[in-house]
Amino acid sequence: MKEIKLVVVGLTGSGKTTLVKHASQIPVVETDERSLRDIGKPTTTTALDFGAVDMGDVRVRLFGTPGQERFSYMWDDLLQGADGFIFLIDGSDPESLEAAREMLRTYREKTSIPFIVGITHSDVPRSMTPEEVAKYLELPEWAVRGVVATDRESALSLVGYFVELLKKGGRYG
Amino acid sequence: MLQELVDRSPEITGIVLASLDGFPLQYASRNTIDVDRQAAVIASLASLAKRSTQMVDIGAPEEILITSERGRMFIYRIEDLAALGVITAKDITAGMILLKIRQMLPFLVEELRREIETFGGRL
Ligand SMILES: Nc1nc2c(ncn2[C@@H]2O[C@H](COP(=O)(O)OP(=O)(O)OP(=O)(O)O)[C@@H](O)[C@H]2O)c(=O)[nH]1
Ligand SMILES: [Mg+2]
Repeated sequence: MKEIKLVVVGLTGSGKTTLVKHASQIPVVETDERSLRDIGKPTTTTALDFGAVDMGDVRVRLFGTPGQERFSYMWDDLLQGADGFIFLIDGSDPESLEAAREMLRTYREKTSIPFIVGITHSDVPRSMTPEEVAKYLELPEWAVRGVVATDRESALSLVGYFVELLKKGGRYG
Repeated sequence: MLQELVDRSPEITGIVLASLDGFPLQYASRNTIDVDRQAAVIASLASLAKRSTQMVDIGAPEEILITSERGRMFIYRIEDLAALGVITAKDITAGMILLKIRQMLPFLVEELRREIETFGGRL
């Protein structure tokens, strides 16, 4: 079986841990700890998330990163040997868009592996659409997809979409 | 409290107390250390250690020990409050640090609870 490694990146609260949890077939390793500061949710990732899912003839290993800057030392380590990354943006939080664009730029400077952008919270009314975000990030529309990270089927569909793109060898940037 | 421990323990070169989400709460050191980054890494290690011992069902970690070329680092998780990183010389008596930390622990926990309240009592 072919194995691929995908890294899930993005700002805190974008839904990385949620996506890994819902897409994984195996019990997930997560390192969330209670957050001392108010970040809009009770816990935050302090090291990584790890899960795996088989998709046809490929085993996908999913690594979630910590979103907070002080844990950024993990970003480069987790990108080692990665075949691609999924950049998540909380679609219900337009105010995070500018910071997200900056973070995406940082990642694209670090690595030239393929990536897609997932717009989480697509179930929340008045969320940003993938088309809007694609325009803002100056990316082709096919590179930005909506996702409901709390929903297994939707989470799997995002990962599956990316795996298909990788199989076709689609690179951009 | 940390400064006191460093002062009376020549084998300890530094101590960093970090919140479990990786912020520095207190520290004392003979050398300059990047306390912000060290606190984040200590929190990561404490969290990873807890998960990996859970997976093999051997209970909560009491002590994490990293032996390096020129020294050692001990990491302790203090309840669900914080993680403590202790940097020492290499030639120290095993168990010594754990003993010292255990003696200090009740006082530290009390102080921590007070300190954490200043963050808005989220713990
Ligand atoms: N309604 C809805 N909620 C979501 C969605 N994705 C994530 N969430 C929620 O948003 C929060 C996101 O939290 P995490 O998954 O911990 O975010 P993270 O990106 O891992 O954050 P850090 O670990 O702090 O970097 C959680 O409360 C999720 O339940 C989504 O697609 N829809
Ligand atoms: Mg997370």
